[in-house]
Amino acid sequence: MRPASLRNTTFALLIAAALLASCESGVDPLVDEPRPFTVWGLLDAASDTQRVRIFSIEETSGVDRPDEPDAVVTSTELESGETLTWRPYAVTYESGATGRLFEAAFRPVHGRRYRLDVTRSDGAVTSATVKVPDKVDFSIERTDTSPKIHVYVRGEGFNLLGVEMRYEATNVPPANAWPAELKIHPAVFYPVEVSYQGTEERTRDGVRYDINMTDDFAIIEEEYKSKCLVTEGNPDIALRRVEFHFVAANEAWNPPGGVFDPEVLIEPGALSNIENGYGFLGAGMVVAERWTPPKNLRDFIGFSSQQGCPLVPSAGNLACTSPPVPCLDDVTNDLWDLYF
Amino acid sequence: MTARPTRSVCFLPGVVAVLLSIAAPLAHAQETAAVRGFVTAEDDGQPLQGVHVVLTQGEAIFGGVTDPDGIYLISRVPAGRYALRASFIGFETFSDTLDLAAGDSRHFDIALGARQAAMDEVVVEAERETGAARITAGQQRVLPQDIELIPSPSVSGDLVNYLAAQPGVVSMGDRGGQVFVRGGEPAQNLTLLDGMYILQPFHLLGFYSAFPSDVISNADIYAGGFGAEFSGRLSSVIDVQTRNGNKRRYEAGLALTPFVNSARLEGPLVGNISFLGSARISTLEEVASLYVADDLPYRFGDLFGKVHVPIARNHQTSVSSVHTFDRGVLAEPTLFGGNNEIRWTNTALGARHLVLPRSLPIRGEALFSWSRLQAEYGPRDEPTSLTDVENYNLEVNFNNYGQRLETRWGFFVRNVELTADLGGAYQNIVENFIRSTNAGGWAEPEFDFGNGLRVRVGAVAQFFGNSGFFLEPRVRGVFERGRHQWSVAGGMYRQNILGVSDRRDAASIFTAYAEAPTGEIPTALHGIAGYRISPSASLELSVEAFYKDIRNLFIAEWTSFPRFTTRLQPASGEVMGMDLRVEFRRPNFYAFFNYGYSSTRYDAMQESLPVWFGADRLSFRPPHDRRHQLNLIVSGSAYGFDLSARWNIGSGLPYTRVRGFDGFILMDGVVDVEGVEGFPRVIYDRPYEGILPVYHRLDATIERKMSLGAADLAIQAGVINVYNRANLFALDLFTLRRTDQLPFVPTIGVEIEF
Repeated sequence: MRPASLRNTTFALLIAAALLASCESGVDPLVDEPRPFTVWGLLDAASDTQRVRIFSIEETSGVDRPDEPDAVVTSTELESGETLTWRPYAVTYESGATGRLFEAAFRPVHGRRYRLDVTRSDGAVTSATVKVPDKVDFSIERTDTSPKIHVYVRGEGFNLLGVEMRYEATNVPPANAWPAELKIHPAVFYPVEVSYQGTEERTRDGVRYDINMTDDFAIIEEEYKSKCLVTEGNPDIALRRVEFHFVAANEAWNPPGGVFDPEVLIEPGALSNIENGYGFLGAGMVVAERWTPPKNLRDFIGFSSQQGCPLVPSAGNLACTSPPVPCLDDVTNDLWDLYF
Repeated sequence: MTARPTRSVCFLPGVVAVLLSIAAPLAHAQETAAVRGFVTAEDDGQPLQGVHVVLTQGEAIFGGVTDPDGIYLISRVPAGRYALRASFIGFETFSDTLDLAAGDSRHFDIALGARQAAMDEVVVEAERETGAARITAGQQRVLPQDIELIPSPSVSGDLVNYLAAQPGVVSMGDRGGQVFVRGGEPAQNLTLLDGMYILQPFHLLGFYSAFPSDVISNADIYAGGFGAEFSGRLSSVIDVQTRNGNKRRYEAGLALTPFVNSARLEGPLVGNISFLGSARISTLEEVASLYVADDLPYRFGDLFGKVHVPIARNHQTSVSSVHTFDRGVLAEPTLFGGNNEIRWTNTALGARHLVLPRSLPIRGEALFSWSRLQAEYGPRDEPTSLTDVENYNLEVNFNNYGQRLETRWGFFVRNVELTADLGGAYQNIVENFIRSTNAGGWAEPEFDFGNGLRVRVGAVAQFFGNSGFFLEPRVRGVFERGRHQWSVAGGMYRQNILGVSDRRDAASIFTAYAEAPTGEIPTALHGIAGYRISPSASLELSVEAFYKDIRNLFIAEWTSFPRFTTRLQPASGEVMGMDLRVEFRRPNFYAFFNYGYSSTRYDAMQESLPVWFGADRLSFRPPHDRRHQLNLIVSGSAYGFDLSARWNIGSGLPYTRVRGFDGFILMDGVVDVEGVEGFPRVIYDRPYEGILPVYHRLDATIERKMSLGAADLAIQAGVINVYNRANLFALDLFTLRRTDQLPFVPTIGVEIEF
């Protein structure tokens, strides 16, 4: 290469470098997002007040929404055309974050469809249409002598969520399980929920759940053992009451695979019925029946009837309403002080 | 279990081939003679590689070329009187006469004296033994003088600067110490220093590694398609051999720069035993931070020592040890990451014994090494993640020399102990300890067809812990005709120790190591085809195409939770590309231009993909997929000054854009939306569809060397990022805060050697 051409090349490279130095090096990672809001909530057919949480979609991370939302929320019953405007309000959480909610005083009617509109001042609307499921025909077939029970849910157009047997179990350690100087021997009220989600059997007009409380007792016992609440010196678990409950939800309220896995559902759109926005608006109600099995059945199942607390929790009885004591080793000084 | 008969069928031919290759020379050795020995430089006793040693008798010529240890071995020479001649550019030719009888096995060491005349020309010609464009099917040999051509803030160079200037090698810039070779991830590179496994050899500041050029004898870089002597990694091999230390006199060097201070000492101990020691410590926090606008919270250093002991004429032993440490924060703390300081140390000890048996035309080598990587992430007193990897490696390698057939083979046992306390990050691993053993053998005969065609066909047969037996075929062919060279290479590669890190966060280079799940060992297939031409003594061009198919990868799962450490998902990968290199050398001018095109695609197979994207697989560009990269290196001498400049431009890296931020409430029942605060959520766009800005930078140095009697002094001034380009290093998507690479930074350094 001749010196002259080398000089020219060098000069050209320097010019190119100078030009490149002025090239754009900025980066804007935000893509234009036309959707204005994220909506979370449900129309609860068992409640006279309905609430939704609204998140404006922001350019910075976090759940805090300190500013008054630029949103008007209305609901319309599509069959009658009746429209309600929801009232905005705010709550402050322990973290200091402000949550923005809207509420309206009405009880959704079974079988009716509702549309919720969240409208921004520029006209952008996030909306959801949801049908409140029909009232559920629900019955429990049980006796006072058998641990086996059958639950029948009849009808169509709904989806059953959170199907569980809740055992309101207590655990009363014997006096010698505690240090002699303990003033009050605390009881432990630690309810255990056994899921029956997905165990249903199809019947001609609905579904049936077959429950064996003896099998459930093994689960409860394991749970108590895992929390150190059942030991050799304290083997007894008492039962106050049982409850079978589920949510009769609208059909759209059905997570992928039937599982509410937050790692899956966190992805926007994974479970969403919101138009021009994100989130989910469900509809439904909790259906439950509670009862107390008789003493002989409790004994048969494996529960202890030798307990120091009444079957119905009493707010005035500290020993029976105390919170769970996880493990003796883990008892905090504060809690310890409470009892000494 | 049905695979058992196949294992026997596969393994048997390999064993037979090895035995035959050993037996044949033995039978023939009774009728012929063999000559072997070490060739060293007379002035410092260092082994000389690439020396042509030839025996001639009339028209008959027998010859060999020395390997990196300076060993030559000429076998199957008929009895008679021969003229021996050893020649190497830059050295006086050595001549002698040998009388060889049938059955002779002669050991003959040669010391070559340096030629004094026309040193500049010598240097240029000597460098032609290697060279930046001199790549053969992915393999490139690097000498210290090659490294010195690349501008660096230190007076003496570092191998990482040379690596970063190669096409197909993507570094994260001047921070992070992460090197991706032809689409492969850092943990897929096998990095060896005198046979010791170094897992994280590159320092936090991208100009430095555990390989300063003043301790290096040579480095072989295999960007892919490496032979059967290497196994256990998917992507590439960086095999660094160090010098033995001066055997004639003591030498010392001291260098001071705003970035790093270094010291080196070498010399003879007792008899022919020599030592070499090197120490470096960063001075960024104390010096460079005083005038650089950006925070430089980095502390790193390395310590290297080696003793070389020639036990007998045909036995040599060396013991090497290295320790490196790094500590620093690569970017501002993230909104959810808290203290993101990373710390790691590498410690290694290795011993190598080399033998040239008197009665066999064989070179034998035994290697034992132990190395340990300890890494922490998070606050110093309470790190959130720790990983501890210990490697034990024992191998025995042989080289059977012949005129047309050279067979290399060996056995190895490797044991890896992995201890991790990851606080639930990375596949929800909290604490674990894993011991994994990998044992096997390899053989690789090389056939020289005498017409310029050489073909090497080999295989590795090995057991990986509980995963079973695997056979990895390898092939390599080179055809040379005049100025032209064609080369191909390929093979199958497996890696049972995974390095897992979340590549979504450039600032989080913490890597957790884990054993691959049984039956799902990551596997890669490599294919390389290259062409090289040397139109003149000054000019060399090469072009190479490559392809890698990678299966059973594990990458971080995607999630819209604003966090970086998470669960893993299976993936597969495909890499293809081409490299173009043009090198021009004259006595006072050097230029190297290269361009690399590379396309890396991963197919993610996260279970949630059908729900999220409606497909079982999602094809995407991983965040190290730099499509285009161009380097221009120019250096020259004028008026007693050495000038060097490197301009590097690379296309933008992929990243995932954000649509916005909201909150997430798990609606798994009749939820009280008033009472639940919810989780912050990132609404991501489709993965890695955004492209970061183009990266480019110019570095330049000017150096003056002078003699001060018994000492040599070098003064270097330089500028990093001459035109102050704001190159992005990391972008915090949660706060939209960016961290840039180094701005315009002037440097000055001085080195004295005596």
